[in-house]
Amino acid sequence: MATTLTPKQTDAPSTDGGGFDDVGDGGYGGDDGRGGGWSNELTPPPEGYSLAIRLTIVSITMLFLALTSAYIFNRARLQPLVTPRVLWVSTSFILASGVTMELARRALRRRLEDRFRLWISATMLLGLCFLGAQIVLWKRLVASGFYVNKNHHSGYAYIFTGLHGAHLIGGLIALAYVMARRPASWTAVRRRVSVDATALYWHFLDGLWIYLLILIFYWR
Amino acid sequence: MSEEIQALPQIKKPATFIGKYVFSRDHKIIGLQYFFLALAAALAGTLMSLLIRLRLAWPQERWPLLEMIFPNGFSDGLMKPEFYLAMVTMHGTMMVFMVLSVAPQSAFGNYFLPIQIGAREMVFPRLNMLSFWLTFASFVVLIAALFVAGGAPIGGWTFYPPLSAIASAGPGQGAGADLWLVSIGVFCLAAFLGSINFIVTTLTRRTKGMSLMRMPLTCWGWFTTACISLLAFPVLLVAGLLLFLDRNFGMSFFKPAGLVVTGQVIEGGGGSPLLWQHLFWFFGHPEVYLVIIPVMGVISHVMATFARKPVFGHRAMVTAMLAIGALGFLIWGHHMFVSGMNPRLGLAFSVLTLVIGVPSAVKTFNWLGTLWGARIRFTTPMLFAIGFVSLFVSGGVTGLVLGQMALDMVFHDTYFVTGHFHMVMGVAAVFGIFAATYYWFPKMFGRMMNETMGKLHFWLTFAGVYAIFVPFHLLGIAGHPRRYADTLWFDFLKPLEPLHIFITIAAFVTAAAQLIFAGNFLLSLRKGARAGDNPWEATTLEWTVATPPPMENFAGRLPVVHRGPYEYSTPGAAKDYSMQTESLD
Ligand code: HEM
Ligand SMILES: [Cu+2]
Repeated sequence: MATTLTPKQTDAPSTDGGGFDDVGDGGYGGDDGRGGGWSNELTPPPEGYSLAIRLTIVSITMLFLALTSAYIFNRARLQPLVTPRVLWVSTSFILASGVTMELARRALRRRLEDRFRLWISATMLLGLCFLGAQIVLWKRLVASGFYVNKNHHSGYAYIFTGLHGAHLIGGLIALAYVMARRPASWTAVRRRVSVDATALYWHFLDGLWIYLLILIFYWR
Repeated sequence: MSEEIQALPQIKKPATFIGKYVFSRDHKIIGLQYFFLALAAALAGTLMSLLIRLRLAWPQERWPLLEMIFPNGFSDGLMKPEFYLAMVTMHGTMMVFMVLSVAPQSAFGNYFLPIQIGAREMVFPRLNMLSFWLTFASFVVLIAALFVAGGAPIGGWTFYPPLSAIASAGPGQGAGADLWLVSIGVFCLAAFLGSINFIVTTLTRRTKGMSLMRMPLTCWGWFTTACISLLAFPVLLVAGLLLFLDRNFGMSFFKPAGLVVTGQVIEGGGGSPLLWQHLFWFFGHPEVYLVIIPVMGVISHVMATFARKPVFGHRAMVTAMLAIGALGFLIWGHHMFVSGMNPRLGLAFSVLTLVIGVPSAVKTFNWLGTLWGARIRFTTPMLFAIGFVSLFVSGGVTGLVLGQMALDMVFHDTYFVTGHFHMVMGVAAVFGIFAATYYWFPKMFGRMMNETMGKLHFWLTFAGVYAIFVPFHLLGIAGHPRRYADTLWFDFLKPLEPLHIFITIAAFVTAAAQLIFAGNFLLSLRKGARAGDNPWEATTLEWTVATPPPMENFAGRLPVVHRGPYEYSTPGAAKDYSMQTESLD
């Protein structure tokens, strides 16, 4: 009595494409013991992407928590420092990029392809501007004698901003990937889920920056 | 007969050798890559430990032959103390990171997690490939540390500053120490990527009917460990990064003010070496559990198979694993009792440390419960599983001694600690790796391993490790410090020399016994009896697929699961085992 289930095939796998989603079949999540209720479809588990990005965020949070504890342990709190004004420029860039990211995400949900591309480009541009402004910020800080090894506070300031920037570059690469990949080469669901995951990551970096801003420049 | 889900779209098969075996995305190939990497590291680590033992047993002996191999490590045939310390450091790092953190989790986990949950692949096969190659790079960089000017670092695997923060603190503390840090940093990245893959695969790729509680305990072990990795490795990465900056960019996060090293006043200052201890052990304690938890999973799995009984207290086993994983993050302070911490804080750490003994004991009693009244099949993997329990108990008991502040004041940094962790982590985990290898070898390579050689290997190794590591405790009780190259300089250590000689002989015999394993492995690979699909009459999904499993594991179909993982000797059943895919009626 071999019952063989032939699931509906809604999503052909891309055997060649980029990304990590080489395998097209989906999990059933094992129905978690409730029996039945499993999906008959073969879409990739969309929660896979968002789960992966959430886990990444957890891990990065641990990284910054560990650094914050070290910062506190070293008693590295704020030393007298003139806050360069470019700080506000970079902050506005990253906040604005959060908004455009959200607009891009919504545009995709409503299947407005052109607008989606527009807003993603804007997000990338703002991200790049943020990085540029951060470099100017570093230069200003160095010019005011705030060297990396001046004191603990300065050291941590560069580590925090540097690591944040490095993670933002990762976000830019993800955005570039979402932009560059032909819509036809992956399914709408998978595309949307990837964009959602990227957006989540981007908002996280946004929030992280606000946290770092307060920690480095205001918290005593 | 069984239900199946059919006709999945095929993954394109790699055509070239490089695509198939080098930059492979097949989780089974990646698992084997990790496995052989760990074997290579184990070989290197073992040879290093033998060098360590030579110096401890015969500190004044000359070894002209060894001098020819390591011209910088010896002078006039005598082993230099810095070479001894470099070997101690590299042995520890090699074993803890490249063997024990790789083999149980990344090697066997990669190979068997997807099969056991009924998936065709890990969720992110490319990421998986990247994790392996990062781990490999990390291994290469670590090995490279042996060959740079000054040689390998001498600070021990815990790499305590301030001396590790200062390049002039000794030979090996220059370029060697930098490479060590780079290697560990890369390893952290690899572990992060791997853990994401494991968690997402476990949560989203289980086949129909594979509920969480129907997962074999191996999968629970890999899952728990992946969660620990995800949270612990970032902290080590931070510690390594800060130390790297201290060393190379004139920072002093770890260097206290007014430090004088080898007659020189060190610039900077105002940092704290204790910061490293906190960061390192916040990672380090969970690290020891992320070594042992996947092993615990393997042991339960093997034990159920050969006891022909369900694992006693399956749910308690899962809960205990998760509890150990979570509590592991709260007890790092027990490595720092003598750091001058507030005794009240120490007491808190001490109590929490003893609390973690509870889930550990739950697991132990459940293993004994599984064996109780069983008609045990004493195969080689089963012997290693039982040996594991013995070692875990022997080492756990000394953990309870060390977990008490007052006692740890005496035993800290003595051979007692070395004895404790070699029993409970080192050798116990190695027994888990052997159990897994003997158990899954037929599935991975299609042939059985030789039982006679396997049993000989087991008994020699079992006797050997006790002969080596029980005396460690005696040394520790006599006050013998860890990581001392010169035992003859101290009067109170001189009478211990015969014990050292005994240990060294035992170590060489035990190491030689591993040649039996190597021989068995190679011989069985070519000449072993052909294994069927289910040679052990086991129940879980890896035994439903062909031997060795084809690409995508289930040949275009997915199994449907109807039962829990360990239905052995069910009353009223026709056979003494029911596979997970067998329907209930
Ligand atoms: C009942 C459970 C356990 C207790 C109470 C316990 C307690 C301790 C304590 C207090 C120390 C610090 C000793 C010192 O440095 O003065 C220690 C060291 C250590 N333990 Fe355990 N332990 C337990 C189980 C384990 C397990 C399961 C593992 C590994 C799988 C493990 C691995 C280690 C290692 C590697 C060290 C030494 C690290 C080093 O200094 O190089 N322990 N243990
Ligand atoms: Cu510990």
